[in-house]
Parts: sequence; C-alpha cells; structure tokens
Amino acid sequence: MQQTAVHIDEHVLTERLMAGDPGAREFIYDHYGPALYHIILQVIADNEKAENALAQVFVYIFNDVSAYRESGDSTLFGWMMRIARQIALKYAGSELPGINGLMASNRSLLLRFTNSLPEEMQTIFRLCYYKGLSKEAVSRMLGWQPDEVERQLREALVLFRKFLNS
Amino acid sequence: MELHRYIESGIIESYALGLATASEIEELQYMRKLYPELNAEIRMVERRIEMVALTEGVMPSAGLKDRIFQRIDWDEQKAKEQDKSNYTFINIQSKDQNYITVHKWWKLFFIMVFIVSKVCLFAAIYYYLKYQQLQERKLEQASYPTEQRIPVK
Repeated sequence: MQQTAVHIDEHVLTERLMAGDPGAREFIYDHYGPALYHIILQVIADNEKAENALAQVFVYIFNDVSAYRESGDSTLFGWMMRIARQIALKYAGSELPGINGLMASNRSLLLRFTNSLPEEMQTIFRLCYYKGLSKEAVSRMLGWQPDEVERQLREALVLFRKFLNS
Repeated sequence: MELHRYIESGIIESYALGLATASEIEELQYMRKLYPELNAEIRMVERRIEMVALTEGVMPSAGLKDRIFQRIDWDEQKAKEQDKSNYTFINIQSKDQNYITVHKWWKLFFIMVFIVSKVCLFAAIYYYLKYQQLQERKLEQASYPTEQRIPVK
C-alpha cells in the first residue's frame, strides 16, 4: 500500500479527474477514502455526521480538482487532507468541545503525537488542530498571551517534525 | 542557512496540517519561489503524513460510495440538463429530504391551472343563477292559470 502511494502518478491522476474519468474517481475514493475518513473522525465524533462530511469532501474533490492545480499545493493527498479537516471542522461547528470517541484510541499517529505533548502544549495543539481555533481564539480562551500560544504551537510543530522523522 | 532555520521552525508541518495562517502561507509561497528546494521538503513531509494516514484508514460504511457517486452523477446530469431550457423534470431526492425540485415551467402551469379553475368556478355560479332564474320564471308562468282561476270562482 505504501509502495503504490509513491508510484501513483499524481499528474496523470489529476488530469483524469479533471476530465471526469469515473475510473480515476473510484481509485481516489478506494485509495484515499479510509485515510480521509479517519482524519474527519478525529474532528467529528458522530459516525453519521462524519460520513456526511466525507461525502462532501469527495464532492468537492471531484468537482473542484482544478482548484488543486491552481493552488500550487505540492501533493494531492496534502491538498485532500486539508480539505477534509476544513470541511470536518465546519460540520463539527455546532458540536460542543470535548473529547471525541476516537480520541480515546491511540491508533492514529497524530493522536499518539498529541498525547505525547506536555500538558499546556497539548491543550493548545488540540484546540488548534481538532477544534480549528485560531491562535488568537486559543489565547483568549485560555487567558494566555498570544505570543506564548504562538511559541508553544511552534514548538509543538517542531516536535511533530521530529516525531514524523523518527 | 536561512532556509535551514526556516524549515526547522516547523512551518512546513504547520502548513501540511492546515494550521498555518494566511500570512504564513503567503510567506511560504514566497520562500518556495525563492528556494525551489523547499518544494521537495514540503512534498517529503506531506508524503510521510500520507503514508502513515494510508495505513491508519478507517473504512466508512459500504453504502457511502454509491451515495457519493450517485450524487456526483446527479450533479453532472443536472448541469447538462440546465442547457435544455424546455426540459421539465421533477426530482425527488433521497428519502430523508423534505423537498422536491421541479422545473420552473411548472410554476406557470400551476398558475394557469389556478386561473382556469377560477374561471370555471365563476362560470358554474353564473350559469347556476341563470338556471335558477329560468326555473323561477317557468314556475311563475305555470302558476298564472291557477291565479287567474281564483278570481273566476
């Protein structure tokens, strides 16, 4: 699975998606669907809601694949992953902040990373990534200086870099 | 070594996860132009996340795929059908929707039906009254002879 991911010619795949090729769409769904669904589940606790969000993600990907080209994003998955999180955050908008069902499981790399962070940094990272709050909103919420939040988030991302490389 | 420091700051990870602010993204795009080797670095980070994400996938329910592809097909058909201005259709969306979509010409059709029904209603009342009048007159004529007979007696 990991091997194929590297060998997929994203340029050709994007071209085919733009042409509306059903085969390319099916490939995208089968290949990336579960990964994108997992990303959404980290933000939305409810399975049904998460599936609706996933449907919207795919409708967006299939209809607006030209946006990927124009945005100059580097990899197709990177682009899809950011869309999935953004749409999931929009869907979860009305949801009360709290620990999601999936949060408890340590299956995901990102969750393992999040749980490994020191407490304060973890709170900031959770609010920024899983709740989609801006640094300003987080600093207001926690009553901390924006600079402090910014610094801790930066540090968390440096740690994430090391975590990924390890 | 400015680039090295920039990369080590975690900006790429921030961008990859979607946490970068608009100004940070702008800065990154500028740096990408300035240092094309940065592109390879971004790609590498995204690939690493991708590889892990692909092994950690969670299967959505089996029916979702059909639902998505049906919706896509439907969107495309709708786009095609919008070109045909005379086309009339009624679309009843999947079960839990409370709305149906109909072509705008149906509006004109319903207004016409409404007007015609009103005209028919008025015509019905008018002719009913006319009929009654005639009926009364007939009755009057019929009762004349009896009235005339009374004074004779």
